[in-house]
Amino acid sequence: MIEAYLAHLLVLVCIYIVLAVSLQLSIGFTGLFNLGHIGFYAVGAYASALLALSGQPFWLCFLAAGVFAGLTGWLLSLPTGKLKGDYLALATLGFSFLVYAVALNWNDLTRGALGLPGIPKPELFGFAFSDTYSFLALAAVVAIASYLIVQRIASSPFGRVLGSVRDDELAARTLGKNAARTKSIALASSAFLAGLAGSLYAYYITFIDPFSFTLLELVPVLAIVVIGGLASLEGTILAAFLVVLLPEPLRFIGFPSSVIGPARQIIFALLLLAVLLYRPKGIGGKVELD
Amino acid sequence: MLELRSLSKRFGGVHALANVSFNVEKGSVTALIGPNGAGKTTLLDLVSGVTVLDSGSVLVSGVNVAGKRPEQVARLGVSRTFQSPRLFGNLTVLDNVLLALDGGDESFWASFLGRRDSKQLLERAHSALERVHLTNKAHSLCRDLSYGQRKLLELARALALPHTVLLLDEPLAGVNPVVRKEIASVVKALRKQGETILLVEHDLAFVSGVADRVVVLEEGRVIAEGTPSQVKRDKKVVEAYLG
Ligand SMILES: Nc1ncnc2c1ncn2[C@@H]1O[C@H](COP(=O)(O)OP(=O)(O)OP(=O)(O)O)[C@@H](O)[C@H]1O
Ligand SMILES: [Mg+2]
Repeated sequence: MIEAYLAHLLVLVCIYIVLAVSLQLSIGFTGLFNLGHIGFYAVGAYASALLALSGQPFWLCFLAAGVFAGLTGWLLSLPTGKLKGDYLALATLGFSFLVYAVALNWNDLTRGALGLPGIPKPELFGFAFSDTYSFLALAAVVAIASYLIVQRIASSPFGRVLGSVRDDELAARTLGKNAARTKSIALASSAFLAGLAGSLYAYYITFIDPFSFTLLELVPVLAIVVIGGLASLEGTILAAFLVVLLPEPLRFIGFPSSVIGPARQIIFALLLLAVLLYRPKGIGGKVELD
Repeated sequence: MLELRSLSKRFGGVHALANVSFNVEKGSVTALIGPNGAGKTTLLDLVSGVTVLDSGSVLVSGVNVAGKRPEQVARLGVSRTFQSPRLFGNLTVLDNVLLALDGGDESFWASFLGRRDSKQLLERAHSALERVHLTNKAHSLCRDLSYGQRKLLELARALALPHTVLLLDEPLAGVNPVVRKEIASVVKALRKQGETILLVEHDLAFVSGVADRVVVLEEGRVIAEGTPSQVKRDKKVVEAYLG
């Protein structure tokens, strides 16, 4: 029983790793203050769930989740290409809210507040990931792959261009770099991975509704990025474990679940505050943004 | 090589540049001098596409780059430095130079499929750093460099970018005498190599030693133009500089 519970927590850790390393791609490596990550996560979750419910196989739903979210990221990057810092943060935050509102109100497609129940368990090459352990294996593979993908992009010549755009966009342009296109690619790939995380989540919980994708959901993901440290993937992974596992003992102390929710938020806030006060760069932060 | 024709730019009520025209011949060094606020930096900004001009044209090897975006102007052969260096602070010294050398070969998919810097590219980057004596700093982060080192690195980076025209905004300003000498000797060497340079500089002694021609700006207008010795004898220049 305790093993199953632990496996469940580890599945969550994996999903948060996918979300946080992909958020690092936009915030930490490209300097895009993207607060729309939950929106991409939601797009991926809904795309995947709707396709799965219409009988499409897992691999297709999973990839489609990434592609839909990635396209959304690309589209969002076009009008916001010139926005920087706080304005981009506001625009992407607005986007997240828009996705939530659409999920809540487009009843014909999303069933609104009723949500989408009965998402089938994923199946690959005839193997069904029907219990928590096998799902954990799947989630771990996706988390490791996401980490490797972001690491590969960040440490490549293209990653260097991302860094130049982050540090001084104008100087990068005077070296002939197409900053707008670079930012579009960064946001689209970041969104692609968030979409995959959304698909994992939908398949895992087997039920999604708009309330799983409120702005509050961004808090733990941002906390992981800040605690892990900007542009530090190793720090991010460590922070994902911390942020998911640290509030768990609350359950055993016997707090009612109505208290646990707010208490988690308080723990995140305290963690964030402690990091900002005593270790502003987080666990392994490598970059300074101004 | 570089032809400026009737460049004008206003910022609100300020006429930063009014109808400025002059040429920079291939293989020559032209110095742009003038008091603070004369419009020197604005002129480099217009040429490099950093600021959009109100009217006029800028021909680089015969191609009009006026109104083009900075990245397009850069690809048409214009490389520049800034009055206060604009480096990529969280990247290494080597990466800053590699970014200039690696023009256009940084596609996402190539990188994703595993393209890394070629040996040849790294060698070129190292020799670019050698030129400004920063080889031993190759793996330091730019934000840890001194001001003089930043100036040197920005110069090396501008040289590394494939270009036909080099724009330098006060390369000697604000650095200690040792670095000053170092930068001055690099610029002199560039001249010998036949680089085409438009240089903004306050130091008249240095300008006389390195420039083929001098253009004097005051309040956005060209008030004198000629060889260094001609310009030094010009009444208006003496007034502008002493007054
Ligand atoms: N972005 C801007 N917005 C408004 N005014 C500007 C802007 N850039 C320059 N100016 C004004 O244009 C004029 C020319 O400025 P510029 O920086 O080109 O002078 P400069 O010759 O480079 O001076 P310095 O020797 O101090 O560097 C100044 O009056 C300046 O205040
Ligand atoms: Mg200036």
